[in-house]
Amino acid sequence: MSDLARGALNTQQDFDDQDPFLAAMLDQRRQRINRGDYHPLSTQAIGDALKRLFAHSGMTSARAENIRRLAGGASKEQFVFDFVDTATGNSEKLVLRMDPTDGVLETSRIRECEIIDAMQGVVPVPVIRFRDIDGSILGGTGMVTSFEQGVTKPSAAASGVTGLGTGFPDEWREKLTPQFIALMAKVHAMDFRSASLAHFGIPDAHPHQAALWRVNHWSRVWREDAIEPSPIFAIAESWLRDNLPTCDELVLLHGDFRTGNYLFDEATGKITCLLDWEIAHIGDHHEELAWSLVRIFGARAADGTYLCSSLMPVDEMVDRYASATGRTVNRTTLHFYRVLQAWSTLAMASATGLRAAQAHHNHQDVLLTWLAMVSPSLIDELTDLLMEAGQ
Amino acid sequence: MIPGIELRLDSMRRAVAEVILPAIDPTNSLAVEQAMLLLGHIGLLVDQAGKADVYARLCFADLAKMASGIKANGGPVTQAAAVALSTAIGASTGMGDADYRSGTRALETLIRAADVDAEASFRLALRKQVLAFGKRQATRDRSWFAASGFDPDAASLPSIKTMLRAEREAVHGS
Repeated sequence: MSDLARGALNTQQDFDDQDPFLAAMLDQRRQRINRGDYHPLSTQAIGDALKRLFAHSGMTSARAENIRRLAGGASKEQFVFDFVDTATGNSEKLVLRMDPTDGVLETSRIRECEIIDAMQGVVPVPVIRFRDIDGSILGGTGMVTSFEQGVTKPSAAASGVTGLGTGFPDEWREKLTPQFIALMAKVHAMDFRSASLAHFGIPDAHPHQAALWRVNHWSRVWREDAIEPSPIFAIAESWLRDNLPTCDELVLLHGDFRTGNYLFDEATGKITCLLDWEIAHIGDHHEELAWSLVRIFGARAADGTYLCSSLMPVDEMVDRYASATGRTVNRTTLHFYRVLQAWSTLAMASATGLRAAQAHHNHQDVLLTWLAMVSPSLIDELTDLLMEAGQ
Repeated sequence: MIPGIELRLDSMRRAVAEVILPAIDPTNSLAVEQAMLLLGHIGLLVDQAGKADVYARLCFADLAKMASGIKANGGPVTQAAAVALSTAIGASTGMGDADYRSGTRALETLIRAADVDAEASFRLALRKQVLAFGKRQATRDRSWFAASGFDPDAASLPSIKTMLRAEREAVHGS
């Protein structure tokens, strides 16, 4: 980035220009740093907490039955249960997502609720039935949503934890790829300025702010969480600050748009639900595309071709997206965001996740220490991307 | 050391696989997943048992070799960080893991210091040196953790044993 384009910004030393809502969220997290061990909640305790939540909503005769723990969710507490209201006779299968003290990343429940509410009727999303955004009722922040039918992978496909490494047979790639792009295009077409997204910062103070906010957020996360040094993380941050792109058009980003975070009907092949909106934010569309290109979110086809998000080659994804949205995909900007996304994923896996495990702030320490083993692949990708950039 | 670490790990693996995992309620998907992760961790520890210190010392040797080629050019912040890096490398204790951690911490500090007051040419040279080292380290680490299954190109990686032999030859020439 030229000095002229950068204007008065000193991007190497400007750490304070952050999304104010995310900055406040990280401020609040610091207050939890000295908490003791987090212990998984019993189903009895969950049942009692849900009863309080229902009563708080005026449903004093409602209770949760058949409460079962779910795996996945990276580091959240997740339960599926039957909601039963004896007064009305209503019953429904629901999902509870609660936050332990810390996890693989810090996110805002109020933002997640806002965005899921806002996306009703735009793309298929769960419906929030109950919410506790300050944790005063459940004992921890959380929300209860509808239970959505569908699978994250065909029954015959292999995958690892959190949907990483999912491999799709060709027939499934052909069914899912057009839907994947069409849904991404719908998210990006959403009129976020007119939506009720009071806790979403809009980085429009200057043309570099969308990129700078992302760099400053993950830089702060690293500085507060890293338990081991990483020269490559520092090199990548330095490069990112030197190469901030401008953003011509801000869009709503899902933030975690990849295979593993949507459900589809195995009988029809139709995508039935987009999940995991917790890192949705306003930014540059290249950022969302780049997320799908992070190597660990993809797989190799039988002929060795790399398939981003296990669905399609990189060039096909770029072409399909440009065709579906009419937007230009600037390869230099895309490259910047590819570096940023591999770098931010490194912060989650090898800093925040390990910090949470070390502090016993999560009920899935064994998962968090396992997930941290993605770090060598991420660093390998970062070095390749930075070398390609001429460094 | 009797019983040895590898034998104890192997017996733990069998207990989880053959007794504990089958006894878990299959509808408790979190417990099933955590038991499977335990098996994964134990399997990796079996692969790495007895090799961790050798591996860390080889990594540190490569780091030290790279650091010795850094010729800092910049203001006082950069110069102080360069001296600190040299000191950290020179203060090797022979404990590979601690030495490597101390060295990489000093290197990270130098990178951030270079953003404050280094000459542009040095920043660029430092990036190239660190990236070349980072690529070698990532390649080694990918082998070290290949059994985790996260690497989409794991099939192209050498085994830990083959990787260690190659690294030993590269560092020591034998």
